[in-house]
Amino acid sequence: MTLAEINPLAKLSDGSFVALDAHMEMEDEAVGRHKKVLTELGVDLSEPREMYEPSDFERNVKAIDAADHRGVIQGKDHGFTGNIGLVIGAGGGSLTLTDAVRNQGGKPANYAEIGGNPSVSKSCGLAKEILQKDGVEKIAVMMSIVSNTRVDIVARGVIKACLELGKDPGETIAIFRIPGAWEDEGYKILDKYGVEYADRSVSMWDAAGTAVAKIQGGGA
Amino acid sequence: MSILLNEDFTFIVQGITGREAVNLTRECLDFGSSIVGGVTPGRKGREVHGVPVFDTVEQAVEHHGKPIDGAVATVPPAFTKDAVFEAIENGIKLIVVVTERIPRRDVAEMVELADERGARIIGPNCLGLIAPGVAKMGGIGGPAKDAAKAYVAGSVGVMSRSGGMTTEISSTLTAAGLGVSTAVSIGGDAIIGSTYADLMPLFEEDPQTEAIVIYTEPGGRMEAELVEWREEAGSTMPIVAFMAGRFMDDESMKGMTFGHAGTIVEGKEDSATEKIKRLESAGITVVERIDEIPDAVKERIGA
Amino acid sequence: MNTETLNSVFIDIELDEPTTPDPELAKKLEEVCTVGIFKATEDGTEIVRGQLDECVLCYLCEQAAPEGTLRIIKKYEN
Repeated sequence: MTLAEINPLAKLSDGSFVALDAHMEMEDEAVGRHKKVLTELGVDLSEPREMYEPSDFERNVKAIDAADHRGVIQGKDHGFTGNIGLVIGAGGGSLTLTDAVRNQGGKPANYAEIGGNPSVSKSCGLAKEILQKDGVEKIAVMMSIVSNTRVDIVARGVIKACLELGKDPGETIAIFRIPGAWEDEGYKILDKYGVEYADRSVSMWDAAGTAVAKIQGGGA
Repeated sequence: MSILLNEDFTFIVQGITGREAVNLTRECLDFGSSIVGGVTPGRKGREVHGVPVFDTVEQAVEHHGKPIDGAVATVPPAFTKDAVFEAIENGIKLIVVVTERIPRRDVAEMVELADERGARIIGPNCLGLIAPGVAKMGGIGGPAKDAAKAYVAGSVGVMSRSGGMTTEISSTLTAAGLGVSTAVSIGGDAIIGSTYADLMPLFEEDPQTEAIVIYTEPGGRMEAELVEWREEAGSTMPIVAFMAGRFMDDESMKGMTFGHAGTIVEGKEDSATEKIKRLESAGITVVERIDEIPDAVKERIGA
Repeated sequence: MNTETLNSVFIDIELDEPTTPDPELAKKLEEVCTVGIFKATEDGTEIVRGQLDECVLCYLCEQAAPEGTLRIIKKYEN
């Protein structure tokens, strides 16, 4: 529990107090150990409480993430209305890349996080969901240098997403910039499918710039 | 030199038989770290990459025959508090808590006990720390050969709320010929054991460190505390900050969490814009791009 | 919406005929593979086509099979 606020508080004529209204906040991590009290209060534990109603995209990505235990993917599109599909990670990398795209005039279609070395089917599922959003024709696949998540596994996932949707990976993936673990194996796969990629010598900013130019730059 | 770690530094891995912990143990040993034991209750007598496994921290210390300096805790969230308490009670002074999703109250209790006993916690929800050429403690930088690519010994101290970005930034510093003295992934949670302000005095004392780079995000008071510390201590060590998550200042993103558990804008004070203003007012250089960091550091140290 | 799924885009596995029915080998292969590519059935080893692309190239299956009887094919090479 991180916050308990009682307001207003009423004093009865016999001197006792009654809380007329209360507001409580609990972090998700603590819910497990307070199940009893939450049930008593009538809180539905199967319905995670968000600040807003999740979109179909957000719900679908959550379901793909829950389908297997390898790695984590997240996707949000609340507040995002652009056409640049972002397959990005991890926590800090995603924040940095979203800024880099926006600050170079790009309009992201979504926010995403890949982490913890997800399975091929998970990155494939995330990329497919993004590519099926209205107005999204191309994706940018970018992360900060990875040490646990594998470059070749993500490459397989995003290329497979294109193929399964009947799209050419070389056309659909504007840029692939994930340096790090198993990068040489990943580059072999990307070469085979004609996907433009960048290693660690290309900054996250420049990779994002390439994505903006190729997706929004009027076919440049 | 480096902060927190040195050539003789010894540590144990709590939860050593878990999948991630086995990898982390291999990586640290390959990087030259001295892991003197592992703890997983019920697994005494086993070995992980040649490291003996014990049921308790006490047994590990007894086997080692003298105090052990550190512990990496990689146990499930519900058991992390007990593991950290056990480490502190057995005289361990530096505990890296890798585990994420620990209830906040537990973290608060861990940090309080560490304070009382003169121990230090790094994390939770972090990748640990690395002193190039000396040792690494935690999964930071990945396998030894990958870690050696991004981290070469040099003059810049790095502190980051993101584990992955610690490596991205250090790689940029290494490529620019500046190198890294010690890099610390401090963790992405709302409450962490060691903040920028907590670690700054150590970097100040380290003769190898000439400048600091911090990676920061919206949410929390950590940057404000760094500024307060800097002013109170009269510190002039050059600091370059990179602020990610500026897009979260948009009205449409209010109350949403991105990235890490601690990355949520709750009031005006913890927005990216406000934090940048505050950092700059204290003479800290704030850059917009990661690739601008090396030049900003060189300018500040006059290299 | 296109919901087609493709199998074995990147990875294929060849297992020589004479060893396929061996129940011991089938069990061993199922055990060593962390991504569920092998299934031990009454007839021996079954290769789960839908899992092939999840292969992490650990080569534990090649080591578990009699020498030269099992090959991991990276289809993206040549």
